[in-house]
Amino acid sequence: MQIYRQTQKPLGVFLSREQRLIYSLCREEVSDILLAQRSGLALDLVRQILSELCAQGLVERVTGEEAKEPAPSPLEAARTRLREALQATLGEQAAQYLPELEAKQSLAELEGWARRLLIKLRLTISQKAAGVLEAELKKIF
Amino acid sequence: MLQLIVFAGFALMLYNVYFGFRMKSQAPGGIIGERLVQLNSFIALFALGYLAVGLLTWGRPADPLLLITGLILLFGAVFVWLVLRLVEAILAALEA
Repeated sequence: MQIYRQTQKPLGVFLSREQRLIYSLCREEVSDILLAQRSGLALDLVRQILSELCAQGLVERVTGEEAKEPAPSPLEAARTRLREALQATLGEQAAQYLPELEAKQSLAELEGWARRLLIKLRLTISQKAAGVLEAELKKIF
Repeated sequence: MLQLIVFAGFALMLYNVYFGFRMKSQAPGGIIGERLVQLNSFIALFALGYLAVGLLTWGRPADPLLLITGLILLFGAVFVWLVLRLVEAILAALEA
């Protein structure tokens, strides 16, 4: 995985649609994997476009100390948001669900668990908390 | 005979009261928790009703009408027990 960002060089050349898309997504430091996810293009194609843009001096690879932390994976991002949502809705009670939350290995597994937890909350803990969590789940998944 | 049936129903209702309140700790809120509060209140109220019927019919000769009433009360208590068992099964499934 490599991190890329736009250079200061003004855009004075004609770019294809895909190149323009990748170029505009590189406004912030971003990994090639995330670029592929955001653009919906194949990773190989994204890497090829990035090498073309690098050759033209429009995009540069961020290396060494300048490289920032890689963007969190979708699973990790969803896990973090879900953890925050649980803590906001349940307070200290959320602690009992966190080990299960951390144990989930895939996004689908996490979503299934969250939906089951939602039903459990609605039936046995608090309808209000379940409503808040449901709204949050719609945003996350 | 009638008193026996009514007091069997009363004993089962007392157990249902205990069963219902014990189950309430597993569902402190939510739809089931809220309904359990109402259910338990009514079970307790009906249990008192069983006691009242038992005392009011004490020593009275058993006629068919009273006997049928006693059986309805007994099977009513069984019905309540089955409902509570159903709720217990749902809670167990949610915990799994």
